[in-house]
Amino acid sequence: MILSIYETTSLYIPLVQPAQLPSSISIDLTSFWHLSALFSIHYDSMTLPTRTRTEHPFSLDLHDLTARLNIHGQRKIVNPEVTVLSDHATIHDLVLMGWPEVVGERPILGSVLRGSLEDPDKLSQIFGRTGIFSERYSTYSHSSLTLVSFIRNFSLFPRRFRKYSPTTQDQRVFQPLPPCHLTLRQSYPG
Amino acid sequence: MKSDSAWAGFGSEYLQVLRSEFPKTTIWTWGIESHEV
Repeated sequence: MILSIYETTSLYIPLVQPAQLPSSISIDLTSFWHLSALFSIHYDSMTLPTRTRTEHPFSLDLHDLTARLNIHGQRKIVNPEVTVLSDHATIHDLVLMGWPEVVGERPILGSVLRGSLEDPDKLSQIFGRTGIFSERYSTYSHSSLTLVSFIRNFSLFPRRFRKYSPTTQDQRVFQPLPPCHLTLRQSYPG
Repeated sequence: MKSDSAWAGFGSEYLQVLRSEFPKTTIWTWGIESHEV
């Protein structure tokens, strides 16, 4: 069954109920209602670039996103991850929702920031398994394919955002954006 | 879709119909799976 899905789809994202949760998240894992909130953090965050306006530098459509995740064309499975970050982010805030027995697939991380953040680079260091990020490929010119494979959502946004030098007209567009570099999407049921 | 239940059959059929209708379109699939499986 999964084979049939795999052949047809462009990208397959398994959403497995996580084995353990960080202390920052308190939900009832036996409840589908609660669990769907966790899943929708990922869903919402990951598809955010497809919903942003095209004049924003981090706007991507599904095809572009897939092309960056699935660089060889036939590795369609990715590892979804979710974090809810407070002021002091640690690696333990990471919730892994991919297949536990499959390692090495590209991680895509949806995150919700609920605190203040001064240095986005620090987050990149905490959550990057290799410390290499997709948006650094112009700085680190070697093996850009590897770098692209470690695409992470929140590092993707700020780096593009920073490298982009806005014109006066663009600054008008950027002005209403909140000062924090993450776009907040919160999807907890009430 | 719930990809470890009978809904996977429905989902894969649905995907095939979609794919034959839109051969080049990018389709993402989120498969919700149980912890036990």
